[in-house]
Formats: sequence, structure tokens, C-alpha cells
Amino acid sequence: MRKILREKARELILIGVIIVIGIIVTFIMPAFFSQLNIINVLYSNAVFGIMAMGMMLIITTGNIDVSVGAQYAVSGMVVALVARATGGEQPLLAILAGMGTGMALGLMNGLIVAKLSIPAIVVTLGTLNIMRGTLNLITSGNWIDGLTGPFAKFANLRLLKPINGLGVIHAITGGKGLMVFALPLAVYIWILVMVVTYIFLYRTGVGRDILAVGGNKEAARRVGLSQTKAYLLAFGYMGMLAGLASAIAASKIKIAQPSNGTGYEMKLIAACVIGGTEFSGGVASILGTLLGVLLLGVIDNGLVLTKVPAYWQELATGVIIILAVGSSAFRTMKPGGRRAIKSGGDRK
Amino acid sequence: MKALFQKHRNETILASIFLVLFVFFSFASRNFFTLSNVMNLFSQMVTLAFLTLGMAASMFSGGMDLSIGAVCSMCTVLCATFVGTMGMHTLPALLITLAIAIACGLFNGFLIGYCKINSMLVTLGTQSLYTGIGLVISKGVTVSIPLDRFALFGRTRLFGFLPVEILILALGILLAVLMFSYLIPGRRIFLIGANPQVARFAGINIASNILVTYAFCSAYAFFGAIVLASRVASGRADVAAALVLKSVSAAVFGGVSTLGGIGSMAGAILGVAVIQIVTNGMDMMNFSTYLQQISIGAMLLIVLAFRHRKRH
Repeated sequence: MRKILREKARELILIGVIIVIGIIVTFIMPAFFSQLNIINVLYSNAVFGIMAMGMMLIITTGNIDVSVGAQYAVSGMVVALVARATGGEQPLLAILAGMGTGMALGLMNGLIVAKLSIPAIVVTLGTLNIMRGTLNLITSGNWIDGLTGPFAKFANLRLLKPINGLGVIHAITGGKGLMVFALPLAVYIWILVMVVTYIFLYRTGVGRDILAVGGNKEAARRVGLSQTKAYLLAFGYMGMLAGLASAIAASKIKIAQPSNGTGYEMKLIAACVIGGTEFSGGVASILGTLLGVLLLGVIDNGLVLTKVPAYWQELATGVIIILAVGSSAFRTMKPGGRRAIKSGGDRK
Repeated sequence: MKALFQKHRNETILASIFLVLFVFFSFASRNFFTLSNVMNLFSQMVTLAFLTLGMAASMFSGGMDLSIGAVCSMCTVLCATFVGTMGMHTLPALLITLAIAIACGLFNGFLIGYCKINSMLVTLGTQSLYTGIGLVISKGVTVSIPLDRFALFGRTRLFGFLPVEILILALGILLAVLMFSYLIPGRRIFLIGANPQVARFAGINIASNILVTYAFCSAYAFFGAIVLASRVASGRADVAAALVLKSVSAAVFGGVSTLGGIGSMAGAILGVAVIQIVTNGMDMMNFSTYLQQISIGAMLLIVLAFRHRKRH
């Protein structure tokens, strides 16, 4: 038990912070703690949550991708094109087209980074300009709208019905039913992506390789792990998830525009960093990243509900990031910090 | 002569590219080689140039200051608020803004140097923080400056043709080149970026030098800000946000390594100049801005691939 407490300290602190913020906001605005609002927070952060998993993987390999916003925009336009061409009748086809496009773009990034061994931030800066420029050139900056049919509905599709009928539930929820299982499909996709990422990263050989390459490039090379393969997987996965997220966004707002996703890269990196992913590579936390996304989402939502002007949001985000990175530095610096935690765990 | 050429090989190549492009655009477009356009060309690059010099300084030290765009934007808001809304005199307004900018830089430097947190993580956070402060001060809207005030730095032309901001930039470049190529504090920062271990053994106080580096970054962001605020006669909390990644591109294009210890201020400024002449020249030839974006991205990758092949 104490070992879990120590190892998952950051995650526990994040949960605590989210709960504290939740309680404060609920005091001011009771509507925060309603099923409807909580589902709303999950639904509106699904796009970020999905992409954050990819960004986490890339940071884990010791790289960084600032072109995610552009990948998201390009695949979003492809999704919208396919969806409009099929009249929205083939949502799966549109999603797959988006995922394929994103994956191709991601693989291109990964290939350049691995083969030329130029720092990823510089490579993706270049490809970011090329992707956005090409997209704008082709579309002349025009939107694609008028998305209809099943495609426009899939993100908010409720597959299951709210649980109702029992007297207690009926009383608590005021007759609306317990909606825990009746989440929008986008949230289920988010959960699925997290599970897949977990299995991929911790339960498969290649996932282990990614962690190893990120942790110690030289050691990984000496035991014969392919750095190129690890990079291709991480960047390709990121691109695929950007495509998936763009399909969900297109279904939600029924529009795709070439300027979509501008500035997403920083928000995603922030979520990963808050969640404890380390820039030096080799360390990933799926739960932490999820909590990072949720924390940023809850702050956004809470500030809106408490009618705090929107411009305070940025400031709050900044303070949270600094506290998050500062606290982990503090733990490593002070005696009895992270190193001591490890040996303490061994002693038990 | 030849030795000098070898030593500044990268700068020579960039300068030749600049000259070739200059001649090319002069022939390709009738409006390019005119006094007013050439002045325009240089005055347009001032803010990006200042940010790139700051970015280059942080990259020399082995880090990266992502918050300079936010500091620059915040300074435009502060200048506009002090001069426009509160009606202060220009000089005290500038001094207070500069002091706040340097304080921002010192805060970055403290977290990076003394708390030993990764520079990108720190400045990612402070980027949000400073943008947030700018947003809160400006209440999320553009703060305007009366047109008859604060015109010196971006809307005044000496002798009828020479924009003042070009002189400010020239001074800024001189100072940066002097500090990082000839003076000891700048050389120390290079050594820290190249090999922190060796720097420590050589008796250099890493933390305090990092502090100086990030104060330098923010001070240069401030100079970029006063020119920008004067030019558009207003301040907005996200006005320079897009310049951050551009300044990274320009610095890298100019031969500054993201891994630290490699590059020069002269190279960085030539990187900005080449990117600027491509933008301006293509504007003059009526190419779309999107095509400019693609060419800059492609140029960046090609130059990097080329340099990389050289090194191996």
C-alpha cells in the first residue's frame, strides 16, 4: 500500500487537486457536480485526451512533435471530404481515411527524424510549415461544412441507455437515470485508445522497445533494438490518433477548416508534462496524462461555470504547469527525494 | 582571408544565399529593388530578429526559451496600457516595462538554473503564465495607443527614409554579437551549452550564468515588443505568439544547434534575413502566403539535411 502511495504520488496529488477544484467550483456553482456537466467535460476533452496518448508516446522516445496541430488539420479535411462525398453514410470509412492520412504524415516525420538524426522539434517545425502551407494552398483556406447523416452523429452517439427504474437511482438523479454507461461514443473511443496504448506500451515487445530506446538510446542500440522502428511506431501512432481525433471533432462540430488545431501542440505537451512524462524520455504515465488532460479540462469548465472571464484560463494553466514541473523537481532535489523513494521501496 | 572564410563558413554561405536571392528578386520583380521596399524589408524583420537573437542565446546555453513570444506580447500590452490607457510619459513606461520583462526572464532563469528544471518545461509553463498576465491586464482585448504618441520606435523615419527601428536593431545585433562572440560572459554561456560538466570543472557558476541568459532573452523580447507596439499602435496579449516557432526556425536555419554550444549571433541574424527576403520577395511577386510557408518549411529541412551530411 505504501509502495503504491509512493510510486503513484503524482497521480494521487493530481486526483486530489482535481477533487479540490471540483469542490470549490461546486460550492459556487452546484451545476458543476451534475451528471450532465461531468459528461460534458469528458465529451469536450475526448479529442485532446486521444491525441495526448500519442504525444506521450513521442515524448517517451525522447522526441517532441510540434506538427500535431497540422496533422490534425490535414486529416480533418480528408475526413470531411470523404464524409461529404459519401453523404455521411459511411462514418467508418471517413474515420479510417483520417487515421490513414494522419499515420502517413506521422510516419513521414518519424522517418526524417530517425534517418537524418536531426532533433525532432526542428524536423516537425519544418513539416508543420509544409503541411499547413500545402493544406491552405489546396483549400485556399476554405472550410468544408454541411456534414450530415450518421457521420455527423457518431461522436455523440449513446449506445447504452441510462440506468433507471430502481427507486434510489430515480430519486438521486431526479428521474434522468444514472448516465454512467450512457456516455457519448467519443468518450468510449478515448477509453479504448488508453487501453490500447497501455497494452501496446507495457504488454508488447515493441512497446517495451520504445520505452527502452527512450530511456537510454545508446544501451538500446547496443542490445540491438532498432531506433528507427521505435521512432516510426511512435510518430505513426501519434499521426493515427490525430486523424482519429480530427474525425471525432469533425463529427462534433460538423465542419472542418484548414486552421484547425493551431496551438494544440503546446496544450498537449502541457497535459503530458503535468501528468509526469519526462522530456528526457523513457518515462510514461497513461493515468498521469489522462489526469493532466482532465485537470486542464476541469479548470476550463470550472472557470466558465463560475463566470470568471475567459482570459484567466491561460494564467491558471501556466500556474498549474509551473507547480507540476516544480513539484517534481523539488522531490528529486531534496534529501529523501526520488532516489530515496526507490531504495525505500526496495526495503519495504 | 581564406582562414577567416573557413572559420565563418556557415555565415558566408548564408550571406551568399541572401545576396543571390536579393539579386534574383530585384530582377524578378520591378517593385523589389526600391529604397522604400528595401527599408520595408528590414523594418519588417525587426521584431522577429530580436526574438531570434533571444532564442539563439537560450539555445547557445543548451536550452530553449519558449516564453519569449509571451514576454514580447505582454510587453506590448504593458506599453499600450501605460502610454495609451494611463497616459504615462514614454520613458518611465519603457523603464517599468523593461524591468518587468527582465523580472520575467529572471524567474525563468531561476527555475531553470537554480531549480534545475528542463528549460522547455519551465518556459512552456511561464509562456502560459505571461500570456495570462497579458490577457488579464488587457482584459482579452486589443489595447490601443493614441496615434500621436509612442511613434518613435516603429513609425518614424529619420531623414525621411531611414526607419528608427532599423537603428535599434543594428544596435541590438552589435551588442549581441559583441557579447556572444567576444566577451567572457557570452563565451561562458557557450561552454555551458557545449558541455556543462566541463564548464563546472572550469569553475563556472552555471546557475548564475543561466540566469543572465534568460534575462537577456526577455530583454530582447522587450526590444522586439516596443517596436511592434509602436508599429501597430496597440498591444495585444497574443500578438507575438506565432513568432516563437518562427524564431526557432530562423535560429536553426542560421546554424544554431538545438543541442547547445554551436552557432553564432551573426548566423542567427542571417537566418532571419534569408527567411525575411523570401517572404518579402514572394510577396512582391504576388505569390500566396501559403506558398511562402511551404518554401520556408522546405528550406529548413533541406538546409538541415545538407548540414547533417557534412558533419558525418
